[in-house]
Amino acid sequence: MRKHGRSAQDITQTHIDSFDYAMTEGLLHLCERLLPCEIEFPENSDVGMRVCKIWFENLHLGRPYKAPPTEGIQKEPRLFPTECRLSDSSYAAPLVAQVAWQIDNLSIDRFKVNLGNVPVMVKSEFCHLSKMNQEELIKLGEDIQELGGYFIVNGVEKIIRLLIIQKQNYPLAIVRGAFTNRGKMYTQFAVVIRCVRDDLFTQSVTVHYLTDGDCNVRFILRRGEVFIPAIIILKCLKDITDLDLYNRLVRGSYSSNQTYSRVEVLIRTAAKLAIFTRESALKYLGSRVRKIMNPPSYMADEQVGELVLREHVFVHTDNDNDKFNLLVLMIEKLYALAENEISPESADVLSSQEFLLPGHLYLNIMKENLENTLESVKVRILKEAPKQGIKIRDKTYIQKILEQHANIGKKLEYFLATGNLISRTGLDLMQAAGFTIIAEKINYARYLSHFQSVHRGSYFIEMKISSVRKLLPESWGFLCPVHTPDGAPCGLLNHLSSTCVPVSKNLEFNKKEVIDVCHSLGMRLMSREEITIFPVEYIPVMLDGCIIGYTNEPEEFEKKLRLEKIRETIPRTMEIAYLSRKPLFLGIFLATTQGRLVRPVRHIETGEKDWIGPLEQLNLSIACLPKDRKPETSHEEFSPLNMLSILACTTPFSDHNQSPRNMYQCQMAKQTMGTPLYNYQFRNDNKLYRLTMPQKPLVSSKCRQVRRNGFEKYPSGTNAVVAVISYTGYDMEDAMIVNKSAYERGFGHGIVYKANIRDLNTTKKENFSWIQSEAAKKEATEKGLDTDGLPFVGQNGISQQPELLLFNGVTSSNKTFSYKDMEKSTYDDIKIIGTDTREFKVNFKYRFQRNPIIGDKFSSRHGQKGVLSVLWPQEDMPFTEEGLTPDVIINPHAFPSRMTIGMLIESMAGKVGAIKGEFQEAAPFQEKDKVDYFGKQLLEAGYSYYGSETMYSGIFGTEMKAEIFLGVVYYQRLRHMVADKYQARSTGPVDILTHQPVKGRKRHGGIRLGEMERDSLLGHGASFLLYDRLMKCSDYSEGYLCKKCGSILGCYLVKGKEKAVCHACQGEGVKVALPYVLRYLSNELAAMNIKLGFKHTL
Amino acid sequence: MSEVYRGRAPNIEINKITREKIKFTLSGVDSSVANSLRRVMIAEVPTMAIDVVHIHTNTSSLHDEFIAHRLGLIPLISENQDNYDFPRDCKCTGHCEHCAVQFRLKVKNQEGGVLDVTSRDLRHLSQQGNDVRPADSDGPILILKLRKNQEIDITCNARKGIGKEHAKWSPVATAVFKYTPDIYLNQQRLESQFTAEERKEIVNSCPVGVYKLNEESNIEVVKLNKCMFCEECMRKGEMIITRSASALLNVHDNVVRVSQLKDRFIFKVESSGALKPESIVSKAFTILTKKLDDIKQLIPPLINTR
Amino acid sequence: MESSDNKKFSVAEDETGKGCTFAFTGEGHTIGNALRYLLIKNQDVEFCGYSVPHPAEPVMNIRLQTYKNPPLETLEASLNQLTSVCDLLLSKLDSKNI
Repeated sequence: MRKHGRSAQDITQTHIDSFDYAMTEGLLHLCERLLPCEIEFPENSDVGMRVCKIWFENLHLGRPYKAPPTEGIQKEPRLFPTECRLSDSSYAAPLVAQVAWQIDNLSIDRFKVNLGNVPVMVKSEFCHLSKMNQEELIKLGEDIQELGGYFIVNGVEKIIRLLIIQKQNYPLAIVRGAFTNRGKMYTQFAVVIRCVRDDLFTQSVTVHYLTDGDCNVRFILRRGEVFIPAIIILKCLKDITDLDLYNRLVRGSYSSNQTYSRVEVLIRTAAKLAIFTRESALKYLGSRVRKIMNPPSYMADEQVGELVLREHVFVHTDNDNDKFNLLVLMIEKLYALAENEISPESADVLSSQEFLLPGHLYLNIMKENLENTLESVKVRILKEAPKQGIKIRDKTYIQKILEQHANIGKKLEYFLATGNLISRTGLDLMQAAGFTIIAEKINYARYLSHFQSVHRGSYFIEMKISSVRKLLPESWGFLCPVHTPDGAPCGLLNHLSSTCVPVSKNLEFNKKEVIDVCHSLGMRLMSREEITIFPVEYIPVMLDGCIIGYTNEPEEFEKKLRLEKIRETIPRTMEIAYLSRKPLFLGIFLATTQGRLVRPVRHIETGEKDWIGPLEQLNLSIACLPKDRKPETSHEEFSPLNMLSILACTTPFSDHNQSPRNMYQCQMAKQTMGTPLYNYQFRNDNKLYRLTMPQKPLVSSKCRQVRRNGFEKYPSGTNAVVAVISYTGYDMEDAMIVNKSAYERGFGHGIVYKANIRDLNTTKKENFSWIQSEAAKKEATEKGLDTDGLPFVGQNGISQQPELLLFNGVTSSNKTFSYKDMEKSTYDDIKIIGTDTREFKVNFKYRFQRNPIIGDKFSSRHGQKGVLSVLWPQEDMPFTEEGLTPDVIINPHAFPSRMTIGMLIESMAGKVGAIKGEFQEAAPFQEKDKVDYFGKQLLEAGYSYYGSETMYSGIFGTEMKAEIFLGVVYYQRLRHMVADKYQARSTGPVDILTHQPVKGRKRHGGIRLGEMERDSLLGHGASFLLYDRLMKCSDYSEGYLCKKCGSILGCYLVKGKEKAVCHACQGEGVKVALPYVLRYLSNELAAMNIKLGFKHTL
Repeated sequence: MSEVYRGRAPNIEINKITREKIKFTLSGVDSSVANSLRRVMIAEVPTMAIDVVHIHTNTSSLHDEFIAHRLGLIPLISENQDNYDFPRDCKCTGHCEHCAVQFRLKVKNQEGGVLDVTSRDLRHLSQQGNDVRPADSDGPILILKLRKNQEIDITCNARKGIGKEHAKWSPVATAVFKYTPDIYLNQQRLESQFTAEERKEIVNSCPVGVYKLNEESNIEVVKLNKCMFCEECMRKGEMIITRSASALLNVHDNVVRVSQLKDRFIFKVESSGALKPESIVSKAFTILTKKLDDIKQLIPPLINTR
Repeated sequence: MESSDNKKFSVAEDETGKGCTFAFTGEGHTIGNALRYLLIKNQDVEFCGYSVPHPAEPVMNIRLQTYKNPPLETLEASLNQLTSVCDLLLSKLDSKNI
């Protein structure tokens, strides 16, 4: 196992490794497993062949290169991510397939087909950046620390999120009420296994328990479900006598648990269907699924049955024997569940879960697309066969058709851009959207967290059940208990603990070797041909979903096997899960596949690192601290910090805070204005926040999680002198006061960069090009632009002022574009984007100066957020004897209910750090008494032990009777600024239909006076105010009401006439004031034939 | 704290002057007057600082507003700021020689490597404003750094202003005063009711070393002005005598009594370099007087109208 | 160019003729606190207090009620007192300095 935790690159390594695996080995397996496309021509077609087969022999992903120029030589043919980001294109490489085709089982012909450009993950094996060092990367315009792990699609950086899915190749016993609705006699018990093949194709198989003891096997076949009695499948897989099967299932247990009677019922089902041999079972299966599978006509039912079993049932193994044994095990487990001997396993527990890795999902989508391509090629060929005749035999013709139908690149780009999964089978996933997110670079913490985040699945967001969101003890060490957002995704969006790694590389090992090792340690082998029946005392040993043997000394076996694991005779990250006690289903489950989580703990006996998984952890006794060791303890944590995520480790003294406050901090750290990156020149992100004068925190953790992940290079806050005092009254309700002089000297200054792209593409009405004529240049200068029609860099962008002057070829005139934003900004950078032949986009980057103003949000690192309420002059600030005035004043009321003692300790620690000139250690779970440690140092320096100081009032000059708590705290500036939020309107645009003010700040809209606000006004009795708000300032209008029929629709004043007449009933009209939306309502009701009539009372 | 008030005439004694700091004692005035003086020193003593910046070229890695901000914070020697008017008072439009001093910062890095652009690169545009220049006698003040082929070309106007308007015009790094301690040791009780060990404890309880144990094992005050009124010695004394974990401080009975003299203030003023420390103090008085005069002038007409 | 802190101050008298509220524009605690102290020391003053109604506005109010003398004169006297203190200190400083 590669050494983890060495540098920040480890954060994205999972994504990169999974992509590398998928696009190298994965593609190989894919080709092997992809069923060839068999085209059967009808009898009468004169194509000269009966059957032709097309299949992919080899798939190869290249590297991204630019399109060759129309003329001349390219200086740099390689395509780099920077260029893709700037030109809004995708970073993609060609996927080349070697296709083989065979006519009528004669000779095989081969040719190469380019299947399109497939987006490539940055810094993967296929990216040019992966082999470069830091200097070369910087020369190319990348950031000082480019981590990769994302795709660039249309200029946007997209990440495929990690998803939680069921653990693979492990039968899970589930109780779910919905199972009873499957049909008559179905109960709520079932055992589900999710099988994954070597090409990462996934199929789940469920075994349901029926009320009479029988079992039905269910699996999904092409978007439909198939239910087959278990006995049929058993017989299909192995030619076995009923007696042998009975013994195999009962295993000599004739205790009270009634297994034997259930098995009898199970076996009798076959008799009911008159199926006694393997052939008849296969025939039955084949005939059941024929319609869905749609196989070629030459296949007999038995062959169809075999095909189904091979491709869709227990796909993780090719050996029928293994499949048989597995099904037997599942039935055993199911009976134990129904008998209440074992407790049901929850799908929400981490021990029954693993991660869907980005590369795997990518590969699966590719597979489906390739299958679709072959399908559509088949349809096309069959359609064209009558017309083309013999021409079809030409291989260039087939090549051309393949290239036309191959749209993998487009489909993958669509998937990455939208996150929508368009799939026939659904890929065994619950959700069809929400797979990708934009890698936001608000600040470094946000960016990091994207790669470490795991989502349960968007399906669970709407579920009312809260059990999915709960924090369970099984997640200890794997998922961070603290780092989860609050609000809608609480508990669904988790983050990996800092030392937890999803296995994303294929473990190189030999299955036979592992079995040999196990055998040498005392496991009794399972014969592959004969039926071996082990008595019930023996528990099974399963490797990746296949039973390899049984043992009756499981504890010894497990201990010895673990030693072998540490010695690396078997893979280091293999999970050895020994489920040892009732009510668990006894067994030893070994796993070596990708996607499962592992984390390092210390094996006490050898002192070595042992990588364990969640299912394994259930049975281990792991001591957290050395003093927690008990006699049965076998392992020990390396550090108590290993249960927290990287971001949670940055919160100082988090063990002294109430835990929700730590959760808020984990959220707010991702929203601070900081230093997101250093290569501003080479990026045109839509929005980037930057703190002008960032500082490293004086109080920070020196633990490995913080040190090695690059936080120091991307600071996001300022060390501020903070006084905790109720002063001025402006600090109530979480507001904070900032020293005006501190602000003027640069505290909290920040910038927002926004980018706006103007398209110069040719349309029917417009054909833009640069201005050439002298007159145009003069016009440009008059408008304040440079002679090329673009503004000067450094010039101010002012609302409604001209920004761009272009020549429109279609109308032969100059067109001026104006600066659109309301706020003043500076042109930071102007880029012209194009190919070698034409330039088609202009990118303006604006720079907004966002110094703190009243209303901007700040926060400390302990969930203490607040809004700047006033800039208080320095001379009015309380001062100490040394002359220090606080930069920030916060209200002491913020502490009692929130209990963020960590902030108080940070304040003392920051003070010590400022006095001594050293960074202070702030990791949680330190053994020492921190208050005493810092207090003593403060005493030495001449300050008070508890951090308070006597201060004098700045207004009166008198000493304040109480000592004020003064220290240095790291404050973060959050990106919620009032300049982005305020809206004001007196009158403005109205909605066409209702004549009411529109919604939205951008459109100059109004704020809704909602139902509850209306209730408050009524409660105050302010009826005129309500009338003013809801009529006068909204959609007041005057219209005519017919006195006779009471309709407002028919009544209007014709020009020239004096009185208004109702055109429906010729009645007299009277003028009334009514809200315009009433007209709309009347019209809608009238359309339903309902008349809204009004009585006019004077 | 006990009220100790000795009626005395206002007096000022300079304790220490260096090029940067001044420490003086103001006595015979009330805290309100002392505070007013402090406030004027921070916020209302005018200095010159760069206020308007015309950027002709900037290809450095810092953006325009950042450089302008830094230029404004450079302290300019303003001893002769009386020669200049406040911009709002000057009769010109824009700027003239009476209200502004112009600088030019024009540097291009031709050679390569990293070039430091400092306050020494600020050149006056006219001879006349020569007296207003950056206060960098201790060392050049770094403005920014340039890489090869980066250049900046900036014209700055330095104008007169006060700290109230922006902190760059504040002449002090800080101005602060504190009360003079008044320590009363009840030597009689100390000798009779305390052992030498306990007296040593009291001496050690002071974090700044105000006390010392002399040869007869009695407590002596050696560094009176270092006292920071933390009251640790008072508490220690009471805790020893009452043998309890906490101490009640009854102002009149304590064996060690620390109080503040109500009319004696120790001022420490550290200049930013713009003005000499003694100039700051005298200017502060002048400005305070001027404010009072301005108000006083308005009174006679009002009295006449009554 | 009009200066923003035009030191106008307005006087609002009450019926008794012995009570006055002075509103200063452009001044704050710097003058207010010092004046208040000196005014209170004056035996003739029945009531004196000052306030800055809102920190955003540069307005300072001093309320003065006297027993005998007109408030304006009392104010003038205190201003003179304060001025003399400052002058005295300034001269002492200059003499010590040289």
